[in-house]
Amino acid sequence: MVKVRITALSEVRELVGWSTKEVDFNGETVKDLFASVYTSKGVCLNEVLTEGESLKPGYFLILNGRRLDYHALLQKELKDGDHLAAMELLRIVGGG
Amino acid sequence: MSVAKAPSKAGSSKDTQWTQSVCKMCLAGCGIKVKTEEGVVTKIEGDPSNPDNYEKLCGKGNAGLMRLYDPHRVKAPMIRTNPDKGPGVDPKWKEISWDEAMDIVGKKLKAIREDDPRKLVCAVSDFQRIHLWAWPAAFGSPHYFTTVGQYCGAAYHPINGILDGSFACINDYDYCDYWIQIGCGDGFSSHLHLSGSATRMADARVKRGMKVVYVEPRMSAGAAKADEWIPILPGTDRAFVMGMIYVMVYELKKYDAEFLKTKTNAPYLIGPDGHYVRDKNTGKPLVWDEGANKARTFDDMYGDSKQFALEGKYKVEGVECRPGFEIFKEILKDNTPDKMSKVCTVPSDTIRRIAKEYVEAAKIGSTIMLDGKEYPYRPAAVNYYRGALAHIDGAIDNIAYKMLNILIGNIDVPGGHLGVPMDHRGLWVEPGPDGMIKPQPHMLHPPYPLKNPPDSYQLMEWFPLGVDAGHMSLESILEPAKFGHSYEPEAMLIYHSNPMWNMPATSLVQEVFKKMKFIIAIDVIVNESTEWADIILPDHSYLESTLMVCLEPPVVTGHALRQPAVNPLYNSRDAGDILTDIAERVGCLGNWNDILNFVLGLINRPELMLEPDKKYNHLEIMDRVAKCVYGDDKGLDWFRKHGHAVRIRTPEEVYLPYGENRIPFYFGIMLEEAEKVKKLMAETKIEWDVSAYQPLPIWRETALFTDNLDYDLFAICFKSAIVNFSESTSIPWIGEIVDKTPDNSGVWINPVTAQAKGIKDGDEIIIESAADKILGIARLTHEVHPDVLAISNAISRFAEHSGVQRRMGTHFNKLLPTGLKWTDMCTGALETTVRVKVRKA
Repeated sequence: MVKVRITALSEVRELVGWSTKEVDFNGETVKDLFASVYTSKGVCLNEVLTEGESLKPGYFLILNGRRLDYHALLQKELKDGDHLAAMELLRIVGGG
Repeated sequence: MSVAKAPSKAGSSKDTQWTQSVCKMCLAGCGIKVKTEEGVVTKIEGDPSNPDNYEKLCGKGNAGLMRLYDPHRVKAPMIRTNPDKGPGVDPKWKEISWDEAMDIVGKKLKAIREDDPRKLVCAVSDFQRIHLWAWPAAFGSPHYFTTVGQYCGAAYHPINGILDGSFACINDYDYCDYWIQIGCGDGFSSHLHLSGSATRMADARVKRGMKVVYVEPRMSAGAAKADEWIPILPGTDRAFVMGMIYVMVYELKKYDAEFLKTKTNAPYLIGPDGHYVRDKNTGKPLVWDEGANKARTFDDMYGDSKQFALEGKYKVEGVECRPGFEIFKEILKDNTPDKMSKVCTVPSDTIRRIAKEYVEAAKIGSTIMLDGKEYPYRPAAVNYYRGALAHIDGAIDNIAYKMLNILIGNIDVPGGHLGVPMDHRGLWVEPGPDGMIKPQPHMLHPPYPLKNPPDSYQLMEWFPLGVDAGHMSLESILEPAKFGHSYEPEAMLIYHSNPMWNMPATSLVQEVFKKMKFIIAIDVIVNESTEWADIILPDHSYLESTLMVCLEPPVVTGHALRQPAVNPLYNSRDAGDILTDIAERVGCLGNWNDILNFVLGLINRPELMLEPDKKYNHLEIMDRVAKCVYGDDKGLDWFRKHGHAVRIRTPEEVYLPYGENRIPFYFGIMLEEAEKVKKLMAETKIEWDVSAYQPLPIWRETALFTDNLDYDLFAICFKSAIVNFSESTSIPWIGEIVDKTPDNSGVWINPVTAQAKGIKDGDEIIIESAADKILGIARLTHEVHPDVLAISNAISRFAEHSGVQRRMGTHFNKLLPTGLKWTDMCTGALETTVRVKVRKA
């Protein structure tokens, strides 16, 4: 079992009903994690964050501070102390 | 003038103190030492302990104390009492309290946010506080109403990020021996960390004898000091480069074939559709193995990449295909030096000679030992910036300049062309698909999802590889139905930005400003834009404020602390705190803190993350940033004591960052994105040309060469080292230098051209483009191409009510047209050269 922290930011926080959770987790991958964590209304994270095989448009995931492709992340094996954050970021900053 | 007591600093005497800090007279952030005597700042010097600039500091930095004590600073919140707005209209400011100002701002913006947050247009451009650029996102506004990016980096940053995960780029000051500089001022007058770069450039030339060849329409400060100045017609630098490449590939037959085969996708087989030909079983791209005379996957364990074919035509499983290099050779056939010479006006003999000097200086095949590790050694490189690529085909321009570097194998190797990171995080290197580095075109923000109609006025949803095309906001706002916008703007928030001055088509910008029912400005002084504001909220000067600074460091890494040399002189507040306060009042504090967690990297340390509903001041936030990057024992207190954590990047950090990942020679991402955009735009009635998405560089004429042909000259603008933006000239020392420098004494015009038009030195002239006309004073000089008028931004000031002298009002941007026709349809870059005609007034 590993202990993983999961943080919901911006619109995702409103969607799941909590800011952060420490999860004692028996699975191996992010996909397993999503299947085992629920919103405050009891809906599985897989259902609220994904559409078909993809993340909902404009959402993204950050593992230990690095943004990773969803499909690569789904298969990634989690280890003790990992921190996963989910947020909606259609537009973060502009310009150049 | 009342002056607050300066904070005490170690090493200072009783009445004299020195404070280590960071300059903010441009975006670079040089280390400085600020001397205060009895609480008054009396001198600013370069910080000798900061390896970014050592003790060097430019004239702007020296003059920073005049901004601090500028009598025309905004000293308290002010409200406009004159409802009329327009050029030359006195706002009739009235001082109000912070409570009153924030109540008004909070109520107005809350109502807008509850109605539709897209009705707030934001112009935010403080480069040292890029995290504050995210504030509109917290509010829910998708807009970017300024052309800072389009004027310089729109076609620059995305292609840099695709090549090697870099934000900017620079030649290697430490080992380069032959430096070609096209349309930029690195090492001489502008761009990346000027003070330090000028020192490094001088050292390279004096100590190592590095040769510098300058390609530019006018003799700039750098061109004047270079070994050779090659005058060129604006917007044709790519033709010059394509001619050079032709010489290297076809005439000299010299390029780094091994680098192309082993470190790039040049050998990958490309099918008739422009995409990789892939192995049917694995889906991996195929190459042609010349040794085995068969196709194999690029990573086949039995293959030797040195045997991969760069040339030839093949048939693999019934598909006709060619390596990317072969396709480029075909393109090049049309780019002979003689043909390119007719385009760019550089003699073909010169193109041939420079190509020969360049490729010979590259020492292809040589290596160098650094810190016990052997690296390829390529002491020749091409450096470039705005003048070379702020054009309609800016993306293709950038790829062409990259190609000249790629061909000699100098990407991120000693002596060559180096990626520059956006900040302390270094280049963004991740493995991508197909053995390639992952393209990183979006460092400033994640891409906007493709969407029709777009939400943003700058149409970012239609530029998947672009940097926000702020100038497109003009048409979007003035003709909302044109691009499908279903809402009208109500208010504008301007923070350290000057869109009235920096955008093209100034008369249209004025129309946009007139449409706004309410304009809020946060700044230190009044400028061309903020004099239209309804409320101005004063920010601290950089000599009064605190910030962890790290931006585009060309050779160093690490943060330096901006810290107050004196307490705030006036009733100002830190801009970060002002925006946090507004966020709380309008109900988006949670969003704001979330976004700050992301953009400031606090997400790396969950225990340092800002909680959603708690209000933090900028000092608390900066303390967390410091601890997050450097550890719990190096918070703000540590930086207050030590000043900075800046160090020179090691060879290991600088060279070969892409490791085993190949970098693009064939920019296949262009076609992939073009296909998505084409599909999306087919849903609209808007004609949308995707031909700007080219995987390999080509030369072709744009509207700059086919339209408005009755305007017989090309006008360009340039920036002096002594000037940052328009307001720089309101500082007496800078103003004096500007007034006494020939560069800024008028509009540069070649005497031969002037004589043909009956214009004499000192004559008042009218310069007219298809968009507008301006007045100027003719300055005759042979140091400008005969077909070009060159105009300094130092003579462009036209603010009426900032209490400072207008400087000539020869505002170049007024001449620039806007619209898709003058936009790079790949990156959103604005064409910054304009056809004009000139006559005596």
